[in-house]
Amino acid sequence: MPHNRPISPHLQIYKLPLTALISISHRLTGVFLSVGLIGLVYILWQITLGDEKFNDLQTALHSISVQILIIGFVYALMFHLCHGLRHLLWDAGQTFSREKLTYYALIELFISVSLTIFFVMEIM
Amino acid sequence: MKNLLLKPHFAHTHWLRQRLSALFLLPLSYWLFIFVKHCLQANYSEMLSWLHLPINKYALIAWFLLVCYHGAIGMQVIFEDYIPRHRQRLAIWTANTFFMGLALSAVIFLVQI
Repeated sequence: MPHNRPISPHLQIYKLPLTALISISHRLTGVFLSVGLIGLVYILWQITLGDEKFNDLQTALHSISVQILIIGFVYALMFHLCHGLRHLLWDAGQTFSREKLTYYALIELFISVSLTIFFVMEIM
Repeated sequence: MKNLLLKPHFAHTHWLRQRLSALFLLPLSYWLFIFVKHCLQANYSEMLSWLHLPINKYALIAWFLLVCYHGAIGMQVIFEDYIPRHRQRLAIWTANTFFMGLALSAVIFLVQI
């Protein structure tokens, strides 16, 4: 069969532009944050169980592996929040030109990293 | 397309609910931040007295309810995009049950505290 028709991009070969990577990350962080909710509800449960359980929980929260998860959660939340704000901007009909899309994508990444650093310094 | 014409309101309300829940979640995230900060830094009695203040308790309840709602409708769109049609219903039902369970447990725990 002759292949003279335009075909859709092969995802293994086609280099996704920054805007596409950010778009899929918005979904991925949404899923990751949903899983993280289990952790937050677990914390609430431990608080209802009393003083001792809360202290055990706090020790666990200060272990390296959990701290990395918390930083990941904060970054995912900040990224999801920043990209969500851009969706609201788009809904208002703003910043749709190609140059602006990439420009705002970079700003968004910068702000989400800065906010993460700020919040992590505050809570830890 | 035919479906869209028959139910023009569905996609629109879904979109609107996603945006509205996001807008309400923005200011409420402040309480999540303070809550996580207390989890890491406060002792038990400080944690309890913070949670006993009605504004903090109800803001956290609102955050958990809205975030579960926001997550459930977000997950629905992901399943609609990536899961074959005949398995979508089960996937969406599972996700809804998951978020409903989380929201319910969070509210019960927060009321108990």
